Amino acid sequence: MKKSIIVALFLTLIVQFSVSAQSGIDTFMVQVDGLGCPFCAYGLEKKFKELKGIKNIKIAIATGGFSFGYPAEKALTMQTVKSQVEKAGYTPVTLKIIRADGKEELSETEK
Amino acid sequence: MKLFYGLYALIFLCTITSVAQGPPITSDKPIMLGAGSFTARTLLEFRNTDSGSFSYAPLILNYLPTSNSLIEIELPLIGYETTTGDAKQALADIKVVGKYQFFRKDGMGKTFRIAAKTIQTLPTGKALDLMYLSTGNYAGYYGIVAGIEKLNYGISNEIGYNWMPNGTLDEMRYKIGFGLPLLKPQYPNKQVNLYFEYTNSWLLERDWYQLLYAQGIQYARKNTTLDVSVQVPIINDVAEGRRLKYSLFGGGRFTF
Repeated sequence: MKKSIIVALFLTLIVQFSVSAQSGIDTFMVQVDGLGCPFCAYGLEKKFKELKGIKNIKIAIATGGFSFGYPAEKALTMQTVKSQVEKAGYTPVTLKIIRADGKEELSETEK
Repeated sequence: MKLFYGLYALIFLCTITSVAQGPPITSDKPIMLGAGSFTARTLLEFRNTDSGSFSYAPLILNYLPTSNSLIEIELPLIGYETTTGDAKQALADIKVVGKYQFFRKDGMGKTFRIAAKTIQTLPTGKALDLMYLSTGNYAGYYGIVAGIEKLNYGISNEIGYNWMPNGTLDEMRYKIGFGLPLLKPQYPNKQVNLYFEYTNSWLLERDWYQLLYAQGIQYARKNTTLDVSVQVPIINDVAEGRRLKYSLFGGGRFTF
């Protein structure tokens, strides 16, 4: 019985920790135009890796879908993301941010 | 000669680690990367002509100060054995390249871009009268590069003029190149690309004309790219004893 309680408490702590960790991450989803080759996607990823703390970068080159996670406490803005895509040499079309607290932000074109 | 081939191999090995997809063979592309990128690359050439055989090994370094501008320096070595019995290794003509991309139209999975380009050839090489390799004369090239890149093909065009005030290698040139990926596009990169291109070269003061065809293949995986290609003349209207027989190319690129 004691063992079961300890294991349950331990599992609860782990779940709590995971939830806290995930809830500290903002999720960004960008539609990018101009990715005409896989190397282009590398250029985009490389540019965004300049943002320290970026996680879970995913690029779907067929559709131009680009998503990543970023620490919520750093409050990355929509304008910074758009600027970084342009510095990478591509065109941001739509941008959706799901903040760690659940709030959503949409770019003008996404709306 | 051993030292030359040793340096040749070293340059090739240093640049074989790469994430490249072109420019293929000798044709150029508009700017595809972002601001702050450095690239080291090489395009080794073995050129066999009626006047001798020439091995060219450049180390090419470029930097993008902004996403629509590029500066590049080409530091080349050349080894040669001419039919007159002259054989040596030497520094070839150093080149400085500038590109400015003034038009870009992006779409989903595609892009069309146009850039202005200049190549300033410095008279640092042996006077071998080898176009774009080693002439020992200053030359200024001015051209426009336009290209479309889509996930299932790429086309690049270049038109330009090479001006050599103290020589007779003034040239009007037009190139067109095609790239075809053989595997389904995926990221991270794993691809085999087939390239073929045509080069038209008119040397106006000498009344020479060449139409060259090149075919090549590129393997790209993650951070590694290996390119090999061959170029042959279709039309070779040049002076006797100066005709190109064929050129072999081997290339690699690394971006950091």
